[in-house]
Amino acid sequence: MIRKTSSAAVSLLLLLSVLLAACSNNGGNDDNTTNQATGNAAKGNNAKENDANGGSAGTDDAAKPADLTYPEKFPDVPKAVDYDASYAYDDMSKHYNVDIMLNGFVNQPATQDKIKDFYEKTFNMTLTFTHLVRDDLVNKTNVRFASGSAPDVVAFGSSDDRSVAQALFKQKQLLDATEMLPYMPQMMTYVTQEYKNWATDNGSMVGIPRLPTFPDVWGNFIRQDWLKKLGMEMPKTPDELFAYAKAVTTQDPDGNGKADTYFMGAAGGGQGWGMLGGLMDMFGHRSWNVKDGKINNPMLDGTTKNYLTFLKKLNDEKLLAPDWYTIQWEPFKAYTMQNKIGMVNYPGWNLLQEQFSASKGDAATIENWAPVPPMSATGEEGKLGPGGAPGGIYIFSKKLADDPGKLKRIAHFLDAVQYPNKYYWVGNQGGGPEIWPDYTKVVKDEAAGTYYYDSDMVKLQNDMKPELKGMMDWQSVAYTLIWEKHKYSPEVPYNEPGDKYQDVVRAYPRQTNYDMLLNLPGATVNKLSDFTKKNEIAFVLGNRDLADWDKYVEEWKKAGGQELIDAAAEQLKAEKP
Amino acid sequence: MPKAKQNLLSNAAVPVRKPLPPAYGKQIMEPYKPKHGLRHRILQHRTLYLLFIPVFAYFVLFKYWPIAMAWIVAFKELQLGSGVFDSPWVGLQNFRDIFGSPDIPNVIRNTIEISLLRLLFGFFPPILLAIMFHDMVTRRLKKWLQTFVYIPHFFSWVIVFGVVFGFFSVGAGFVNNMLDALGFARHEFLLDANWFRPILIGSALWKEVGWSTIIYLAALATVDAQLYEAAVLDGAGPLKRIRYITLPSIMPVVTFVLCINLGFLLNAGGEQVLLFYNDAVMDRADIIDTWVYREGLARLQFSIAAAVGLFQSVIGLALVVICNAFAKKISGRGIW
Repeated sequence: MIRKTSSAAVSLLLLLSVLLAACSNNGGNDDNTTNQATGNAAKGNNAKENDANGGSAGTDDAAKPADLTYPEKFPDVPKAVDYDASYAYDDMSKHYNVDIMLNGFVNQPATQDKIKDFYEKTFNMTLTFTHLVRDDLVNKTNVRFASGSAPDVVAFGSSDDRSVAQALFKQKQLLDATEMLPYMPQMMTYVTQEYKNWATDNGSMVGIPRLPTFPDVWGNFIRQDWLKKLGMEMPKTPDELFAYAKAVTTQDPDGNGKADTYFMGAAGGGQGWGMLGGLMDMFGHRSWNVKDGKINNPMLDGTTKNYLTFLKKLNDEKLLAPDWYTIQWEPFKAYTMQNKIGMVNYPGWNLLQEQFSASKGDAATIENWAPVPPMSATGEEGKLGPGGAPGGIYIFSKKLADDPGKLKRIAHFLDAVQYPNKYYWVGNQGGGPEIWPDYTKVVKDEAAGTYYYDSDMVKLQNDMKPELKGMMDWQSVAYTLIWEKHKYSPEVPYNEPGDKYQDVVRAYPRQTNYDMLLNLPGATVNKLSDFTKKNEIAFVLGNRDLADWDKYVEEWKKAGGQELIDAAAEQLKAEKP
Repeated sequence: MPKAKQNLLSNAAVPVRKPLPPAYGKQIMEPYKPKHGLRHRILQHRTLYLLFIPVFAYFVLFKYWPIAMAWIVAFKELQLGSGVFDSPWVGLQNFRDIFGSPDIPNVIRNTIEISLLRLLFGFFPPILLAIMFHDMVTRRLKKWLQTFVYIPHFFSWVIVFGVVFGFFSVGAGFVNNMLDALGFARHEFLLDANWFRPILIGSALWKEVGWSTIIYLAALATVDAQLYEAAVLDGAGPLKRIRYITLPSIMPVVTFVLCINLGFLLNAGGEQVLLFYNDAVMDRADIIDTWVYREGLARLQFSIAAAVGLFQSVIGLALVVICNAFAKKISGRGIW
């Protein structure tokens, strides 16, 4: 009898477990992938999740979506909004659970996440924080929405992810961003008309454009010391650049007697041109543009062909680093920092800082690198690729419409961490003064009206143990270097030239950014991207003959190029070629 | 006690078997007919049935229900806001979209070719290895070698790709260093479409060959040792023992594994390919699973993904049925 009763009890327990497992949603807290790091989920004991529809607002005097005013341009010197007055609408006595996903760069959990703790305490909420590499973020986001366990906020870190936002919006999964913006006065200082148009699809704003972390500061940097040693000038044309590439690889500029120096590499992990993509600007506009009143694409005017011909020449002459196409970004850094590479495409400050660190504090290495002014194959003024693109897009689950209180809390939180609002500094650079009061402070440059971190990086690095590195990913919520400068002092000699180089690159002439005015079908754009990537590398490796170019262009048109030409011509009101 | 009669060879007494009743053979061929109805049997064995309920619930909830949902989704245009049941039916449109895609002929060809290569180069080595382990006399060496070949199975494909990159990269790859040392030119193996499949199949073989021996070793463990002893007495050497005892003994398992593997002909190892391929080898590497990953998951076309899954399942099932029928015809043995 006892045995039978026990069996029955065990069976019922097992059945219950199976049913519970089937009925529970994953909530983003299980099903971890390799690169996923998830913060702790709802703590429960003191978390009083507000009832749906029960989110009472405090003083709700926010603007109506229709009344929002979008500025024409970014403010020259942004100022923090009046914090207390701006967020009086948020009833801080209510507690909410907020689920946020983003594209980090550490993507590992911090064993003790002080930034998260600070946000939870300050904003009276329990955060679920998921940080993933970009591809995983897109896939995980899609799966979460498809499985009915959508996160509240996703912060995509690339402007290319607008198509994901558009697809989710079409599937009625997202809140119109104009529902959030009335509660975000700081954000409204930089959501320009151009940004707004970029994020608008069929009259709906599918998300809020984000400020870029590195705003148009990526440029080609060349080894100054090698140029001198090789007796060469700064290259101005593709031919001069090729001569430099050849000299770097064959004339042993590091003088170690070995053939171990190379011109450049893609470092894109086998997926696209990576840092070699910057060379395309020598040959023309790298994206959609209007030429003589007609719509144009680099595929059509010879820009892509000339660029690929140049890359093929580099590859045929073995001037590119070993594994130049398949190697990932981080392993490629080893070549760069060990003085094996003659040119890179990088943000100036980061390049100097990394070179300084790799040389164990040798200030002379800072002078190794200098930005290359835009080169040109045509004799016309060289220009860099189009600038001014957003750094990504925030999207919001439609569920928030059912919980106005939570919607306002999220708006409050996201707005409060925008530059230079009250809590902007908390989550950047691994933690601001609120997190590391002994090591970090924020100083205002009174002359410029901007701010910068004044941190004791040595002490901070000591306390920032490897198991805490995941905290760094909070930086991906709202960090931007548009206005922020670095502290200039002899201990950090790379800061001043690094900032200067970033300003120099930002000031270079650029091609017009027509992409901001376009809203092309995302599925076709993505499919065409796969098509072009595999064909372009085939041309460069010699697996496909460049004599086939015209045939290839026709294939490109059939694969979706023509559809995009038609759409772009219509949207830019230009003639078809 | 039956009456014994004299055995002329051994002089030992052997029991005399009673003659079988005339209808004995006929009786055992008739299907089993339970005396009581289902309800009576469930009540009679209620404890066992009760224990079975969680298992049944698990399979229904986590296996058959998702399969049923996927099949429905394959004929709908899944809209996330509407859910499976409220999304509109589109008939065979998803299948038209799939087979109308210009990529699909190449993708299916790659899938079949890679699967067949996996079968060709991955099916026999575990059998040979299992036989070698079985015949190994030194127990300690056998255990050590088994552990050694099992370990790669526990590496993730990310790790395996790291190992492969370490071997075949141009800069510091072991193979290229060897080529260099021998006076040959370094080669971009990872960008060479001709090398993609050998590297793919080779690394999969390295990872799984040891683990795949387990099922054959289990089958070999059931072979009566007296057969080998008798064969040795009859003068059979090692190869003849393998040919006449070992292989026939494990043939049912070999047939089973072959049929099951054929069922996965359209599943050519998506996770591995996804990690190993790059733009340069895409034309030789893109398979159904990776295509579905890009089109279905990354581009929110779950109906397309479900339709491809249904297509793979139907083809897989058909292949298993055909393989089973073929095996039964040839050898008289099949899975069922």
